[in-house]
Amino acid sequence: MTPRRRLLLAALLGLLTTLLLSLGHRQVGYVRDEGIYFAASRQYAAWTARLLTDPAAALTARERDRAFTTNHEHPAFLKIVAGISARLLAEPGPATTLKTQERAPAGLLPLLPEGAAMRLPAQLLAGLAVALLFLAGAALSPPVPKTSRLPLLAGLCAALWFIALPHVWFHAGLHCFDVPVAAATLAVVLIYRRALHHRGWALALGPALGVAISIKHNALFIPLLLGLHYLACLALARRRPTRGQLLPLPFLSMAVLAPLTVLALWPWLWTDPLGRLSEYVEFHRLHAYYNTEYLGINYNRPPLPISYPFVLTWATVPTGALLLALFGLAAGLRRDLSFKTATPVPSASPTWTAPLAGRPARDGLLFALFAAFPLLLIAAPNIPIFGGTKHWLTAYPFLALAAASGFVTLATSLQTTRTRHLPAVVLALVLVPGLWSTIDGHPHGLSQYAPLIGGPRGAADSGLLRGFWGHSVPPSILHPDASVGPIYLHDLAELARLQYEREGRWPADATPTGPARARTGLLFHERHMRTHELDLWSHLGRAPAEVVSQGDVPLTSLYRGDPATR
Amino acid sequence: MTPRRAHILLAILATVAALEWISAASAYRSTLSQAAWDRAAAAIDPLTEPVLLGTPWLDPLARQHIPAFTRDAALVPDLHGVPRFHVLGHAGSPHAGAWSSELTEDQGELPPPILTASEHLGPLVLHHYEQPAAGALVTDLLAAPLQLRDDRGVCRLSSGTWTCKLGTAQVRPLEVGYRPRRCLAIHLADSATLEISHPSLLLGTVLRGHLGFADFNSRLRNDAPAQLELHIDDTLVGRWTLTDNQGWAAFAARTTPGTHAVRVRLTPLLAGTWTPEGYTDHPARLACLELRALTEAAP
Repeated sequence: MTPRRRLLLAALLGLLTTLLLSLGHRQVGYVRDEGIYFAASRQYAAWTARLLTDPAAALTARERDRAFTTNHEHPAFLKIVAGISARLLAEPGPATTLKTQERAPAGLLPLLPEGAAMRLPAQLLAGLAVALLFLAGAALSPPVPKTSRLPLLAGLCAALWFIALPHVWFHAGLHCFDVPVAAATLAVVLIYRRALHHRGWALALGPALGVAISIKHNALFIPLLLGLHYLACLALARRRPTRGQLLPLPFLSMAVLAPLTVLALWPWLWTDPLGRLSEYVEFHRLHAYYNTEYLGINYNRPPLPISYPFVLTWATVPTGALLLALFGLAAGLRRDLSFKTATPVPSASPTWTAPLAGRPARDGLLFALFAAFPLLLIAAPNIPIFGGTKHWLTAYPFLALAAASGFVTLATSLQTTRTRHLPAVVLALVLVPGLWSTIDGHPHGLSQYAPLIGGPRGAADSGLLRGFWGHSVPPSILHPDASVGPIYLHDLAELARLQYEREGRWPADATPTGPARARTGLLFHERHMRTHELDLWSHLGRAPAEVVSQGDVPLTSLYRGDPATR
Repeated sequence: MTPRRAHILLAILATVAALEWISAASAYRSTLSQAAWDRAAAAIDPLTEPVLLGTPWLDPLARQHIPAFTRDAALVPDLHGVPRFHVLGHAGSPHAGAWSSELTEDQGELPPPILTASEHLGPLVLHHYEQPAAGALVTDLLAAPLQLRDDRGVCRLSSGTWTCKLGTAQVRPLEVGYRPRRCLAIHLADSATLEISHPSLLLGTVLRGHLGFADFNSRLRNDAPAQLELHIDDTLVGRWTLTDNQGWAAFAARTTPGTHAVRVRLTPLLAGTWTPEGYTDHPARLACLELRALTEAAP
């Protein structure tokens, strides 16, 4: 495969991913966090527009703070881009006068509902991750004849391993930060690999890290892991580091350019950078504990069992794919950490701008660090409870690359044998369960589980959580003409509901109210929410009118009162 | 890597993947159709004994499709006094949904029941049980005409709710230990005592009851214990100090069969909750009390 064809294929895969996410996620309800991100995005984009028309007014501290105070516990970058996307692509909301919310204004090229337009930047980043994984996976193949399919298969392995997972697919389509920061982390690590050998990439590394941190705080750990990898590379080289290697440009770039990029992309910080940064760090350090159900127990205080991220990863990622990734990690670590392997004589001398020039890349170690760290971090007993798998999705691109590396190792071992096609067949066998799980799980991918635990039914039998974001709204009520009446929203966030209203999807008569006055009630099933269901029983009876299920497992119940009996 | 090792690894991966394909074919298929529920409803409708769930996550669907699950009889406080019962489970659940950890909880100190038959109703299975040691229900205090009074006088009953000077009480389901429990839901001012009495209640060999606290959020923010006293014919027969950590806490006292005056005194101590701002009345923590007279074989 020529480099040009490889790039073309990567771009196609990325675009296809974005297109499928954009279309498919119209069926995915707005999750609780998106509600506030939508509201913040509109405010941030309005400020950005004002910056173009009246920069002097927009740049005053008062105006900046007014625009960026909403949701300032997360950086602004993705919300600014999402807001701009809505201004460009949003379809206008309904012409009728809305009770509580203004209608969505039309964008310059109205193609998508406003929420879908705001989800688009995150979906593009998911597409970018797929494209990068394809390229990086293909590049793991050793030099082969142009007719060999090994690079193509390795690239597809990495790309599909990642995106064809139900939880990744679900989060990839949302206007949230978990898959975007995973994509950005991947991009930074891939730039870092090049930055160790090329000055241009070394200079790009700092701004790239800045952008990643501007998406979500997970990226703050990237330089620490890169530092560990770099020190390990120096130690394993068993040569005294040169002066240039002790003050390498990639790390200088990260130290200087990343903070400047973060500052530039987050106007909230401009008024009081240190004070507001420390407030931001404290918010996440002392993050509230969420409820989560794990093996039949509701946890709302630390520590969570150490096994939590590992069991949930196994329960949501098909085992064959995990085994291939673990094999790739083990083989890569064995190759990179072995002292038996003679370090090759450097083909070029390291300099401060290319500190590992001519030295082995030690990708296995790099992938292992980034694959293991997010899970180990969440496993730490003093880490606040943060919900489900989304908080270690940053590990998955590296598990995907490890899987591709494992596949390449297996395929090259059999290259000259009669069974040389066997690895490709097994690869297909291994990747299909993830794809199957993703397609079956849509649009409730957050509640989907891997085949070996028994899918959603097996997970429910094992006491694993079904959801936590109040998004699986019965489609029957998301229609402007639906007869709903006063409705108890339960865990459907008011800001998420307002987004439906802005887009003309919320029934005019569905006014939010408490259970006692409701004619209709929603109940999102979570172990600790049972009391709210009993409130509904008192007023609307015990039999739900409609139950949204995933593989038979109830996710949301819709209760309707009989007006005649009220 | 040698070709031999590569072959072994590929064989392992292929085996696991094949297992996953087989599992996926079963896991990623909805099994519960309207016809399946209709069949289960037809099997359950004629039953007069309690029907419980052996696959707890079926609960909302079971209530949607089968009227028996919307009745109070589906909310048994435990398996005492239930000599025959039925359990509906999903065929794909462990042991075809014949039993669950919730039923183990309800079983308490009773010996395991006898599974007499299982009816396969497509994706659902109806299991029939007998429990010879369960005894028989003599009187359910929640169904009896009770008299309630607090420290300041007699409570007034109107539309199913007792209104007292220091609180209220009403028979309804409350969430205790993440499960709905039908009980006397009691809201009482701090330090107040509620007295629940019946002058001539028909008793068996034992009085069994439960005390729990609702709801989840209030339990998080109030750990105060409650004191419960049981008097029969003005004689104290039991005193228990119970906390929310005990969940649906069971208590029991041996009784002499016949008609007796029964009096229960409950002091939940604190009704409010603690927040970062301090102790507040709202949200309130509710006590959830049930009591039944049973006839059981002597241990």
